[in-house]
Amino acid sequence: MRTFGLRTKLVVTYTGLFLAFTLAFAWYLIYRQGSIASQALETRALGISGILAKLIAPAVDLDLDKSQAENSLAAIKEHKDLLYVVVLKPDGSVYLRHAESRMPAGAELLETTTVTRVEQRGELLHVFEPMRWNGKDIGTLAAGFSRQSITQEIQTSTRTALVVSGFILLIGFLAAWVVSGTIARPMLELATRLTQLSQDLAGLARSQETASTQQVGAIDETRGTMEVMLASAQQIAESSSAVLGNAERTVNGNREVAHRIKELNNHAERVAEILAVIMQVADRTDLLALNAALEGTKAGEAGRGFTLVAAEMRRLAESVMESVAGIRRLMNDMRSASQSAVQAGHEGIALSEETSRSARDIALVTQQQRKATEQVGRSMDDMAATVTDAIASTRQTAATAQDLVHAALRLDRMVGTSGSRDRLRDASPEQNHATAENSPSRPQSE
Amino acid sequence: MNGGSVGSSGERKAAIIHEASPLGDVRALSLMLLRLGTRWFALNVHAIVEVALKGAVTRVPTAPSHILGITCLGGRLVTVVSLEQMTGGAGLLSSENTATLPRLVVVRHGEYEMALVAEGIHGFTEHVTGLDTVGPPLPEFVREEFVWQDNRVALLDVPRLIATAVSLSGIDSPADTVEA
Repeated sequence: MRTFGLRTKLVVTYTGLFLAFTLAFAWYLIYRQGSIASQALETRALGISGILAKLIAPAVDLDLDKSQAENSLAAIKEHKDLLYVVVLKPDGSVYLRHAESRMPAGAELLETTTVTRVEQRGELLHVFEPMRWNGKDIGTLAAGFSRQSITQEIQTSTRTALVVSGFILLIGFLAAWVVSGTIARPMLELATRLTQLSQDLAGLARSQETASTQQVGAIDETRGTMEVMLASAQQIAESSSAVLGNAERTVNGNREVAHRIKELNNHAERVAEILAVIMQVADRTDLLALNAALEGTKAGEAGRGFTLVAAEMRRLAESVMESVAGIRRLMNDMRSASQSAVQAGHEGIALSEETSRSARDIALVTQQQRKATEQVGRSMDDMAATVTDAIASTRQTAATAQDLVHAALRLDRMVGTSGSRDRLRDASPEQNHATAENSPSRPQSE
Repeated sequence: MNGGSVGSSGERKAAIIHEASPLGDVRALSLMLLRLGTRWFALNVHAIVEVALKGAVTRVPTAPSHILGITCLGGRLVTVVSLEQMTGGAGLLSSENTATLPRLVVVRHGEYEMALVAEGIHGFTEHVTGLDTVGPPLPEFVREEFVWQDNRVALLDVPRLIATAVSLSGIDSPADTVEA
């Protein structure tokens, strides 16, 4: 349904008021002029009737010739409003009668009276004036006056009133137009601005709510990650503690291995000494057997058995020496291996000690990380609570902004023109909803 | 080298050689095989007094290079001779390849006695001399060369070896010096 704007309403209202005022003014003016004219006519009629009654009274009392009375009547019978004059005697008989040709037929009203009275009938004003002469009633003067002058006066007054009213109405319309424009334009601009601002505010609140919701999700995800990190840190701490224990045990084991290898080296040295003795004995044995074989050989056939025994002893001695030599090689290999083992043990001890230090560092760092993670978790909780409160506030702001939009639309409907409403309809909250969600920043118009 | 009352070194050499077995005899000998580096030598067992450990050898000032010094064996001083110097094979000694300690093979001819350094003694063998002389011309103290277990073995003539050593030394034997 087509509605009118505030300016139209103001113009119509002010114009209506001015129209009512001018109508009242015109009515009052016409009524007042009519009343004044009637009163003036009545006054004039009464005056004329009184004068005529006094002028004609002697003639009537003396029952003179009517011509004298008519002479008296002639002085005023040219009055434009006077239509008829009838003089009645107390018995009701007509003494004198004068009527204008323009008087309508049968319009006379002939009544006797003892008091002056005025009666209006139709377009005529009838005056009944009692005639007294020397203290006695000698008749009644009935006169009829035309009210046409009053009608003309009323028509004149009506025209004047209409002209004045039209002028006043025109002035009032122009004034209403100007005043309504002065009032409505700022209000319309304000309503438009308020509508746009409220829509922007609502869109911004929705965007902020969406962002806050996403932020809550991110906080929840971060909190979950922090919990995983906390569990990982706990597991790392336990693992590093186990590594530390293992490393310390490894250090002790390596030291024990090094100690054992040192003892083994000592034993090997003893074995080497014993081998040297065995070697020396075997060498002496070989030498003795060689000399024995030499002597047996010198003895010829008699010493052959001796030579054989000596040769066998030599082979045994050489076998012992070869075995000792093999044992020496093995001992050298063992010595090299043990030295390598000792070196590896020392390196293992150094690595284990380094591992212990690293494990302690890891445990310390993990503990700090766990504390930091717990602190971050608490901060996430606080942040989540804050964001939740912010979401509630944002929703409240959005609701308020929506109410503000509706109020602004109502205000716009109240003050806006159809063109402005069309513009505002283009920027309605439903249409701007998607735009506000897609562009969370404040519009350029702000 | 212990010697008797002989005059100059030339005369002593001639006397020693005179007492030695003549070359060209064909007979079976009991030999002791000894190794010096990669060289193999053989000695008549009858010329060998004993085999002893190579103990401390005291070098003799102004002694020739083939005389390593003297050592004490059983209370007597014995001249230690380097076979490698006499055979011209310097650097033959290589104790890495032997299981036993170096030996001193004490040889005697008459009153002359000296010790030869050997890296290893590889037992005894029977050999018929004068049959299978092989190789190039040999030093005069090498009686012959023969093959034993794929090794070329030089059979040393102990009297000539002693004579050569005395001749090369150009000095009187320590025993002569002590007697003088």
